[in-house]
Amino acid sequence: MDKPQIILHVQKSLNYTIFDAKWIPCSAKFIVLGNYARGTGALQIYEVSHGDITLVKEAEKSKAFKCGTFGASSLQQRSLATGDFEGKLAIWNLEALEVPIYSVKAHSEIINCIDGVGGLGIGEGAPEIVTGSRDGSVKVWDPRQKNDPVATMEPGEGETKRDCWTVAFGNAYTAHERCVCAGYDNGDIKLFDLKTMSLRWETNVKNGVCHMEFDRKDININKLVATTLESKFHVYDTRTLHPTKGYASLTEKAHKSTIWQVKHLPQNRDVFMTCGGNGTVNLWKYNYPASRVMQDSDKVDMGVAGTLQLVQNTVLSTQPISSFDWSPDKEGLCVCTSFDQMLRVLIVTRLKQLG
Amino acid sequence: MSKISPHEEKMLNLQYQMKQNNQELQSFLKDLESWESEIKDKEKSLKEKGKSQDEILPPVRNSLEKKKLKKKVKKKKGEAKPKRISAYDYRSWDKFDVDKACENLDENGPSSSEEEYETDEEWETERKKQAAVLEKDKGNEYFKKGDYSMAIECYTRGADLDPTNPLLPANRAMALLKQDKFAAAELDCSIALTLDPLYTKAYLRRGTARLGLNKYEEARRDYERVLQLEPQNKQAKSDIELIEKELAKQQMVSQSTADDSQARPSGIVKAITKPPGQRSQKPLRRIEIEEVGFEDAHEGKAASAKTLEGKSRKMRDLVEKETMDFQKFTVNSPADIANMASYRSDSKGASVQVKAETQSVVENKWDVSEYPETVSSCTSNIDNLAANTNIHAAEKTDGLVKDNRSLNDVSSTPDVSRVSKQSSSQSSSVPKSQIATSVPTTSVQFQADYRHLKHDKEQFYQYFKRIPPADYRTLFGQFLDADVLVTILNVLQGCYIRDHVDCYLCLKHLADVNRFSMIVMFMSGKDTQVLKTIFIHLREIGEHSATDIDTLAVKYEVR
Repeated sequence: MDKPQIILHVQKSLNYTIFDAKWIPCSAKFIVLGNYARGTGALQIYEVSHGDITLVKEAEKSKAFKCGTFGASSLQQRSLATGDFEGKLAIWNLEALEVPIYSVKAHSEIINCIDGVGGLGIGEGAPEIVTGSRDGSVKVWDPRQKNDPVATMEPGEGETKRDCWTVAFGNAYTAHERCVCAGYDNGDIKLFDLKTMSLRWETNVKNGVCHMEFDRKDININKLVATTLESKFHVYDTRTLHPTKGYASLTEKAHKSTIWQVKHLPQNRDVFMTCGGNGTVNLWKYNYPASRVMQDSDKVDMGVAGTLQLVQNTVLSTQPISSFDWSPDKEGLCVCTSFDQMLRVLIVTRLKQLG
Repeated sequence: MSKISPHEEKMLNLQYQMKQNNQELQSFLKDLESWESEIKDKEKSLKEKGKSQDEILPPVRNSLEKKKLKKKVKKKKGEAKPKRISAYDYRSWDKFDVDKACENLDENGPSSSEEEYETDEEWETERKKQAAVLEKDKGNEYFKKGDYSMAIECYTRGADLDPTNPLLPANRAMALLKQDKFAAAELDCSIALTLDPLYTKAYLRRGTARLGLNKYEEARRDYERVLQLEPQNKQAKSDIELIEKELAKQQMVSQSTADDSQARPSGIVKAITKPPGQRSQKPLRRIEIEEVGFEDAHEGKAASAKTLEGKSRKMRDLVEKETMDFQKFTVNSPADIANMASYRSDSKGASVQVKAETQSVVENKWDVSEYPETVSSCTSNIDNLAANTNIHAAEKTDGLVKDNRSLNDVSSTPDVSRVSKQSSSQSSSVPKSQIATSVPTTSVQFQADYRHLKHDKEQFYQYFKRIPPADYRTLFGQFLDADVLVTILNVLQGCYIRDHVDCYLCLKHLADVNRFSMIVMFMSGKDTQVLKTIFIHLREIGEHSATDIDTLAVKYEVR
């Protein structure tokens, strides 16, 4: 009866392939990143106003943009970190897009994914950006340090380099604790602990990992959602790590195609949206089990997975939804992009009632 | 009174639900509207707030041991980072940290955190700026070597590091000009000018770039701006004239294309290049350069501008490049000999190029020398440039009419301004006799004069005679080499003896000059013969006691 509704608010057709869209924190504006047909990079800023979206600013750069994040920027500066097709990481001041304020040749190949933490009041500790690339490496950057990453995670000599498709920060609940989770095209998921510089956990989900996200970056890691190529996604309870069984997880089928994205609602960490290759978006709610921890036969703690509830689903397009972002400031407002070069602003009502 | 069927009930429910949904959406949209204005205000206040809310950030991760941070993915056990106290478990550590942070906050208040941030920021920008300067220097090195693409790369990196430094785009523009990438050079100059609107050289270079792009009107505007900033700038003047000529020519071409081959202005001679076999076998003649009156020079310049058209751009580039080198040169303290020595080795790369350029001009000299008035006008034009761009260019002119080899020597001498003045004045016209009447006061001056006079024994005699022997030590301090000494001795033998002038004091003071004994040690038999003749003469005159002459002879290693 009072299910949340997913309503298309505004849509706009653009003249380039859109890869990413992100709300600018503390504003009704968002940025859109993509690739013009001539191979150049598109960076546009739109503003939602009076039932429409208007283009505020745009810039064309020499290399196509793949991904962007505000996660490592202060709320005051709100500078955008981008990864491009040539492996360059750049940070832009949105007020002056002519020259980046930070630029580094981060990888030898395309940067597939980027995430930031330590800015915007989200996450304790230093502002850091993590990038994952086709060259197989995951690198952590501090905007205060030029040229060199502060940490690099790459396969050893002689090992095959897997295409890294997704990276996510988590566990940033003190100035020193921090984790990076990386997903690869062969289904590998690796959780690196930046505090101890060690591999904390790894698993393989048999299908390429398209996207991953912790429900929150700035708490002791709680839940991790990983979406894969063939219409499956996994939810891990990352509170309790069992020495042999790892994290407890549940697997869900959805979208009947690749699941491109998962995004947790900033106002409620147990609600998240998944975006499918068939142009659908699904809204999910995670329900915790009665007890999250139980003891196995050897009296060792192990996690217990909860259940998932599909709250709402909507078809938006015939093409894959390439990116999705919840507004951090207005609950229920979101932007999504699809490969039919459409930009959409969605409204999700009654999210509060999900509790 | 009719009963509601289940079907109807469902319909009603659906209708109710749709209504409900619609209301929900309407209220959301209304809410959204008010939120939009709300968030705008919030954003505004955020922008006004400034940086004060930033707190102290932890240090850059692994900044203490960057080398060790490369960690392999497959390695299961990584080393714990040393920057944290591993003995604590994180909970207690966390607690401790918070308390301390709170205390600090109470004690210092928010202002200290701002200060901290400020210094951190400043430190960062300072570091970037320094890195940019390093890149610039590296770029200049490459530029000097003639590796323009590497130089451009360096400047680009530098510009990335410090986008506020106008020198970097300006230098890159220079390198781009060298590669004939005029459009890019123009753009770079524009960038440099937005950073520093009073940067004369950027205007000059943009003018050159626009000239290369045949944007005559815009180029002229740039040069006019240069003249506003620097009314004496000769290059701007000459280039404006060139542009005017070009524009006039374009008009003429548009008027009549038929007879433009005949319409060559008088007094302009194109340099002729012939294959080596067909070149004249006559020996090259030395041409005295007459000083041309100012008005003449003005006219001649206009004429020669055309002759030099092909060369001028390259030349200008060269001149500018040298000016750039020169800037660096002037940064060093001129008195610092050690610096000079290092600079000398630096400048060799550049000067070789200049030499090559000069030689190409000299190669054409035979053809040109048949038309003396062109040469003179040409020279005066170059001289204009030279006066404008100081010593290197002055030497270039010098080299054109006289001696290329002088280049290295003079460019490394301390008294730069003097030499530039002198050599340029000589090169334009001053007759040798004028030099011969002057008395050198510095070793540089002597060196320069010596170069011109060494082949003319009589002139050099007159010149040398006027130098007080007591000054030898200072005059020849760094420069006395075998060549100079032999020339002097020849003059002593040839002229002093002939005119019965006493040369004892000359010999005595010469022997006091640094490195004298070293040079004497390596004198050839012929030179010793000359010395012997002098000493025999000295003894014959008998004005000095035999013992004095003997001690002197010992110094000269003459028995």
